[in-house]
Amino acid sequence: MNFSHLPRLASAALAALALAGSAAAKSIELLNVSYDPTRELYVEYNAAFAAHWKTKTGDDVVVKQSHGGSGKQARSVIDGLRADVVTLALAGDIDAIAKNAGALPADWQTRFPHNSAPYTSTIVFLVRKGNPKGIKDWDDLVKPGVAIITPNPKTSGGARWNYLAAWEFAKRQLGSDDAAKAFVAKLYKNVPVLDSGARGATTTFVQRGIGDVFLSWENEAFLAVKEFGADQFEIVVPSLSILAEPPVAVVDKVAKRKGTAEVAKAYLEYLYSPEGQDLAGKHFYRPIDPAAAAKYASQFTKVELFTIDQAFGGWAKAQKAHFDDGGFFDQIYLKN
Amino acid sequence: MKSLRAAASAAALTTLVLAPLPGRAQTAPAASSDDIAALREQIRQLDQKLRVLERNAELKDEAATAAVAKTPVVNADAKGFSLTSPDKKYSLRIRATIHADGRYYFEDKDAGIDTPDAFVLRRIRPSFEGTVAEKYGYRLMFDLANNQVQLLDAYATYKHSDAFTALFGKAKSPFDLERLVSQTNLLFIERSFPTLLGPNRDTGVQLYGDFLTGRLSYQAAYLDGASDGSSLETESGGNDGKDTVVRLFTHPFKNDQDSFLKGLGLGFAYSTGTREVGTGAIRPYTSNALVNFFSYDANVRPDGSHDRISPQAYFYRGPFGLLASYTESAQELVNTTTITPASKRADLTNRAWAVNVNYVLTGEDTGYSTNPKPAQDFNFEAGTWGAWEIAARLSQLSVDEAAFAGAGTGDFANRNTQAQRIDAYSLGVNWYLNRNVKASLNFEHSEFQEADASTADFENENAVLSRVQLSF
Repeated sequence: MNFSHLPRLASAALAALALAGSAAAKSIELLNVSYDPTRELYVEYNAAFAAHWKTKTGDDVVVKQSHGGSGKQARSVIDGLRADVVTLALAGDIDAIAKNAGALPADWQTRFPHNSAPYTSTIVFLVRKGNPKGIKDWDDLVKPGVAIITPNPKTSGGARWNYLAAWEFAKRQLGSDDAAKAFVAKLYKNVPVLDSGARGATTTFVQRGIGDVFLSWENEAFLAVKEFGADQFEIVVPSLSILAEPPVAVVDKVAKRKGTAEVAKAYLEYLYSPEGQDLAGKHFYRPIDPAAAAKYASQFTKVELFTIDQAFGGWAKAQKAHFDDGGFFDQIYLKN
Repeated sequence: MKSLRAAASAAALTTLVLAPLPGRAQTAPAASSDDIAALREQIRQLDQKLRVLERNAELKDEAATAAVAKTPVVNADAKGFSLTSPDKKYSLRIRATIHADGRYYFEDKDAGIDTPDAFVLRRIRPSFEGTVAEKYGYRLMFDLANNQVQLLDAYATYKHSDAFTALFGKAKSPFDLERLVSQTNLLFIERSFPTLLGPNRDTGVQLYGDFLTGRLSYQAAYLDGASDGSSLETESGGNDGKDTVVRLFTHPFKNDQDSFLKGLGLGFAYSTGTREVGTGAIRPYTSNALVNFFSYDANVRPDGSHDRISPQAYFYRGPFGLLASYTESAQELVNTTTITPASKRADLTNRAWAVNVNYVLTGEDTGYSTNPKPAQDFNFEAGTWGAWEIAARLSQLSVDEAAFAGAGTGDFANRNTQAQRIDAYSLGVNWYLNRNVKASLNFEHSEFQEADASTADFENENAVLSRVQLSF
């Protein structure tokens, strides 16, 4: 027998296998680490993106979701949670990932349009049907006997937006930071329960029946009314609120290591597409695309919005002054 | 808490409803609508307070649960002290074994035979073992006996599945049945003769695993090569020769719960390798009481092939145990005093076997490489006595008669001073005070066969060995 042709046959077989492997559709898995109220949005968005990516490349992509208080989620990523992308409540939490884990560059906000915030939101009040305590604006919250539900600003992004909106309202009304601090201290005296995230706070207010008013993400308030009925709750829009810009970013360190950088980037870019913007509006986020914004404009009450840059000089300054250990929140809450 | 809230609400409502009743009987003024509204507000406030208490307790529980899920588990039990990550992917277990022995020899001192009676620390072995990144394992074990530090085990493992684990580093060579019994689970104070003809620890790569739901296990190793009964090569450095070791072991009735033969194990081990002439002498053979009875001449070295076989078996059922093994070790030797002529070179085959029988008097189960677990720990005050076991062993080792051939006193061993064969029996009692402390007492009797019938008979050896073992 002559075995001299075997090496060539084996080489050809290996080459064929390699070609077959490269031609086969890939199955890709991403992990999106997000904050509490985005669950429903990303369930629908992930399915839409998977279909889009399949059409575009032929590859299957499965996006897993992780939700919790934004600050807590950022801490998990810093501690090693292998997120391909983060879609958190505020830029400060992604800054923390960049700073403490070196997982993405400091200028991450320049990578996507609109400071990497594909949709916006704001803070509104959710009250019980009939608004028994007659809550109309921020100054109604500090009245005796009003029980307020808001999560812990140390762990929840939404809670930090709440806190800053109250602070800015008081500062404009009362004229100074000291007065604002006293106002916010008074407000937190009316908070009987501090959940770690927005979804937990929703449970406290909606399902456990605690409190008179819930300081809520706008989309979360709409969701509660939609799910539990307009005969249970009402949305009150204050005279002034904050423009919340929940940002998104690719976690380079993880995505490069997992070989998912391209699809992770595409996943976030798709949020800016007409389909992505439409889904944002559908789930009560405010789209940044003019067409989608116009389509969903009627569901949002007009309110005067200020940005964190205008009122606090950006997240870094706000975080340091108010929420870092020993900051204003600690002074207020520990004193309470 | 929910029942508390319901009870409080019910009490308040009862007060609200019943309060006017005496009024009617005594014509007291009826409660006004303001009073009722005030009471309703009180109930609402009370209800809110209880709800807040409930929710805060719920959050506290959630926080405590989350904290537990992130807290490493520290454990201290009969198996040692351990630290495990919450996801169980990383662990460290600290263990140790102490063997404090006594040896007493009954010898004819008038005939000039006097092996010193002695207390010795036979083994002082701390070990560290565990896992990293879930599938990777490690073990480090040192021996501090004899006032020196030896690294006995040092290896890393990768477990792909039950059917495939790879080991890299220094560990016991997977050859001899009794050698593979853990030091803490030995039936007798000293292992028997077959272990003198097999390798001890060796460095290299091992693969092992189970098939057929544990009924068939395999071990295969490619190792640096260790001489008989030793963890060391006898060659000097630079030896290319390596040992290949293969061992198959089967428990044919393992999964037949009702079978009488459930505890039967049968196996076969084979090793083959080559040795180059080196500087190290071949380790002497010792009796079960650790007295040398055979040594090759000082200049005898391995040179060439070294093959071993070992059929092996055990049977355990309840408190009864039986372990038997046979080993043949065939190797090419050379007497380096004169490498030529050819008469100073030979392929010698030495043989050994041993049969161990044990029975746990207190009824606990016995098994391979496991100690009986006392049903009740020893406690003098409570009148409980742990587990007691008796054991007997027959064993023999014979050196190839060709070792003694040749001119003078023999080409490879001195026929006037070295025994050609040893026959021994051993009797033992083991007392398991608890799962960590064991006391053993052995009587060892050995008889020696001289290579040359004209040589005066070697004295029989009688010895008592004792041991207190503490292990965790």
